[in-house]
This record gives sequence, structure tokens and C-alpha cells, in this order.
Amino acid sequence: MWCAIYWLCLLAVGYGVAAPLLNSRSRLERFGLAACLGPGVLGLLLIAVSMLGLRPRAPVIFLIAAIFALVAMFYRSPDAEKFQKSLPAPRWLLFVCFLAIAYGIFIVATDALIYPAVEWDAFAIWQLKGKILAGLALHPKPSYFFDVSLSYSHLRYPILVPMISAGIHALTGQLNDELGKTPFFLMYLGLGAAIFSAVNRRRGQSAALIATALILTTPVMLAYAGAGTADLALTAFYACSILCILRWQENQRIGDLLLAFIFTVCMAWTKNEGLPIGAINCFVLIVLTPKPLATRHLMKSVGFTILFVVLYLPWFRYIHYLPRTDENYSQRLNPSEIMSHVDRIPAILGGMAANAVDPQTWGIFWFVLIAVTILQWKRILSPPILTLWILLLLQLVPYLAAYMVVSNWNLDELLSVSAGRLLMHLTPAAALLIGWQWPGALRLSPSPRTQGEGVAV
Amino acid sequence: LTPARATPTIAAGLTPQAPILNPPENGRKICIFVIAAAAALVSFGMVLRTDIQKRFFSLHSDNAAAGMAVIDQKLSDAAQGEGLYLQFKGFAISRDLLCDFPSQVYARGVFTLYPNRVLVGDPAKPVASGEDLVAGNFDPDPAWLNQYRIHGILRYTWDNNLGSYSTYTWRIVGSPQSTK
Repeated sequence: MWCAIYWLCLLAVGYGVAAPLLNSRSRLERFGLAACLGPGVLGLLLIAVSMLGLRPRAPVIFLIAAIFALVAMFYRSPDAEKFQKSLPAPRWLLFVCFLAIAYGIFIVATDALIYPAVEWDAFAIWQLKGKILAGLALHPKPSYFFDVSLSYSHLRYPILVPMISAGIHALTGQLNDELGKTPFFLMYLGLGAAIFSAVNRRRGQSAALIATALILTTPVMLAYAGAGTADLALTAFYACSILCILRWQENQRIGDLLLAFIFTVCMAWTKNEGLPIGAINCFVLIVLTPKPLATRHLMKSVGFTILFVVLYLPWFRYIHYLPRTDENYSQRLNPSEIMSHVDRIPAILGGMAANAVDPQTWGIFWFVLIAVTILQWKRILSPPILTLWILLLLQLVPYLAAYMVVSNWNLDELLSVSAGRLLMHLTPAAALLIGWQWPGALRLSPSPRTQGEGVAV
Repeated sequence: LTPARATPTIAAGLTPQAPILNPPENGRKICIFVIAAAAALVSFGMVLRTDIQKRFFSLHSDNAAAGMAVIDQKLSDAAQGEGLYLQFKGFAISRDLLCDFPSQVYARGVFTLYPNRVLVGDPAKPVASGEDLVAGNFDPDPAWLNQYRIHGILRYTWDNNLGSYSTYTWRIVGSPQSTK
């Protein structure tokens, strides 16, 4: 029951933040964005409260949820952009997609709601921090952050995901090993809804179902989505951020830019990888905005970037004096260090490619992306497709650089344990590319019944 | 889909129609669709088969889940609601923290017994890997343990001949309160 109450609080916050910023959207898209926004915004607010010296407590959570629920009720914009029908999609294919999505939801639900945290990263890092943050405020700094005998738990890792988990511990008033993972099932549903809505809007239901089923059922996603690690959260935030960036490119509405900004900040507070990906979002916003040199757009994009940096500064300052016992990427990621390990590039690319083509890890997810891209190569220069490809390829750059400078790990070992999860962060852009390039929009003759169905990108 | 074409129709809640295709072009599109659909089906089949096999038919995953429950129970029994010191004897420690049994037990202990403390050596020394853990692991005396209000000790001993480990639990006499 506490799980359901916490979900309602998360959704109230998500809808409350999204309502004033969204214009006409389908219900499913609203749900998808709200299910990802809620945990992110509530987590950030609880971190702010905790930094002021108050640990997360049920009354604080209820108060925040109530305020945002009122905002959500106040801003009720009409639903629009109903599901599009697309032609022709064999029923058996859609049935298979439904089955795959249902299987994914079932598996992630059981992992998140029933089983205890058994994934190493989940219990050693994220859920442990969640327990600590539930019991202690961030000010004064808990002794945990100075306890080097717990170095394996990465003392300096960002704390948004642990704070989301801490919220449910605070709500129940006890540390429950099973409950800490439950919010991420909501984010899994939100990720699926957001991807479906985005693809459905341009390419119709069949392409949307296929793209959604592909992203929700990759073995990596099934393994980590309900495990209680930060990878699902980062993937979901990233998916929503690029959807909002693409909307901004399309119509230059400030609401979409603000939503993209919130999701980008959430990414940086979720994992270290979120920081470079957030920087890529800023870069894409500035460079690929329509009429990028127009003062109005340029100011907004630059303002986005400056605010992103400003909102990350509190955590940067917080960890400044903490002991550093793990890999110091920020110090090693400099041109001379990178250039001195250029010889690692073939091994890194080979390792990542080997992971991507491993059928036990990905099936043929990446082959499907390449196949539809080759089949629909004429569409590659259309703005949203081009933007997604740029995002996808740019995202590989910081990962490549991090692997190049790593010193505490054997490169092969590190690739074997991390490449799958890093590629998982790329899946939203890949799934959107699959969906938007899916060859489903065709019809034989115009008819009133099919008006509005299928969109040629 | 250029913004100039898309914006007016989308703002009106509509989407533009797909182009009307002539039969040869439509045939090509259908071929593309069939190929893409087949690829998607193969992908679903492969990933679901892998996942179902791993979750429901793999002995390894069952053992991992069951093994974790055994470790949790052992840790809880040894700690009896307080802190715990973990000793490891005879374990070959690899550099890889993830594959390292003592590291798994330590991290699991810290997680399940929190807020009670779990130690494997001097808490001032970093434990970032299995190597660190074993290098700093020692036989503590009761006075040292009392400093950290720990009474329980759980020892894991690896037997190379048997290829398995045994455990031994004991508690030191006297409570932290009584030593103060």
C-alpha cells in the first residue's frame, strides 16, 4: 500500500510540474513524462531539503505532493494528438509486440516489487545510499561520506536515485530492502509510454508498438530496470530530455525547453555519465535549434546551459572535500591523458561492438536500427532523424574517452561489466530512430477513414 | 519532416497524410516492411528466449538468488541485531571486486545490517576491491572490537580440498556498555 501511495505522490509531482509546461499532448505522453518527472523532481527537492538539514520525512513528501497536485488540477489543458492509426500492420505482429511488452512489464514488476535487491551495484551502491539518506540529512555531512572502508560504494556518486529510494523508506518509516526499488517500475512504465507516444505521433501505432517493445524487452533493460540501480533512471530521464529537445526544435515552445532542462539536470544528479550526456544536450540545443543565431533562441539555449551548470554546482561543492578513493575521471580526462591512450580505441570500439552484437545481451536490437536506417536512408537528413543520430554518436564520445583514461581497471574487465549498461543509455535515441524510420506509413488510396494516418518523415 | 511542414498541422491536432504511392513503389515498401518486421520478430524471439532461459531455467541464477539469501541469513544470525566483524581465511582474492566472494559478503553485510556497522579491518583504510579487503583483514581482539561496539565475529574459511567454505560464528564476552 505504501508503494501505491508513494507512486501517487510521484505522479502528483510529475503532473504538477508538467501541467503548466505542456500544451496539448496525448494522455499517454503526459503519463510518460509525469512518471519520469515525478521521481526526478521529488528527489531533487528532497535533496535540497536534506542539504538544509532536514532528512526526508513523510509530511515533507505529502506537502510537496499536495502542492504539485493542486498545480496539476489548476492547469488542465485539453488532451490532443490522439493515437494515430497506421497502415498496414499485420495483427500478428502487433500481438507479438503486446506480448513482448507484457512480458517486460511482468518481469520488471516482479524484480522491482517482489524480490530483494540482489544486483551488485544495487545493494552495494544505490540502495545502500538510499538507506543512509533516509535516516540522515545531508547537512551536517553524514559520516558515511568520509568512511573509506565503504569506498567500494563510491562515496562521491550522485544521489538522486538513492534519494528517490529514500523517499519510500521515509514514507514507511522503516528501512525495507524490497521497497527501495519500487519507484523505478513506475519510471519503466513512463519510459515505455514516452517512447510509444513520440513514435505514435509521427509514425502511427504499429511503429510505436514495435519501437516500444524493442526498447522495453532488451535483456539489458530487463536485467537492470527493476534491479534498483541508476541505469533505468538515467535512460528514462535521457529519453524524456531528447523528446523535449526534439519538440523544442519543432515548435520552439519555452515549455518544452524547460522540461528538457529539468530532465537534463536530473540526468546529471543521477549518474556521473549524466553530466557529459547533459553537456551534449546543451550542445545540441545551441547548435541544432532552428535559426541558432537568432538572438531569442540563442539566449534561451545559452541560458539553458548556464542554468544546467548552476544547478549541478551544489553537488560539485558538496563532494569537493570528500575522500577520493575510486577512479578520478575528472582529473584524468584531459587532452594529454586521452592522447596518450589513443591505442586503446580499437579495443574499446571492438569491445562495445562485441557487446552490441551479442544476441544474449541485445538480440538484434542494433541490427534492426542499422537495417531500418539503410532501408530508409533517404530520411536520414530530416531534422529529427539527423538530431537523433548526432545525439547517439556524440554520446559515444565521452564513454570512449572514459574508457581511454581508466587506470584502476583492466580494460577488458571493465568493458565486460559496463559496456552493456552504457549502451543501454543510448537505447532511447536508437528506439526513436527505429520507430521514426519504420516503414509503416503507406496506403493505397486516399479515403476518409484513413485521414491523418501515417506520417511520412 | 521539416518544422515548416509539421508545425501547422501538429498544432491543429492533426498529422499530415502519408503520400499516395503508386503500385511499384508500394511493393518496394511492403518488401521493406516485411524485412523490418521479420528482423523485429527475430530480435524479440532471441531476447525473450535468453531472458526466459536465464530467469526460469538457469541453475546459475537460481543459485545466485538462493546464495544471497543464505548469506543474508548467516549475517543476521551472527550479528544478532548489532554490528559484525567479518574474517576471511584461505580465499584467493582476485582484483575483480565483482567476482570476489569476500567482497560480496562484505558489501551484502553492510547493506542488510545497516544501520549497524560491519567491519573487515581498520575502518580508516579504504576498501575499494577484494585485494584491499584481504590485505587489511586481521584477527581483532575484543578491546578493539569494543571500540566499535561490535560483539559478533563471522569467519568464512575456504577449503581448497573440498572446494567450499565453512563458517564459524562467535561472540566476544562483555558488551560495549559494560566495558565503558
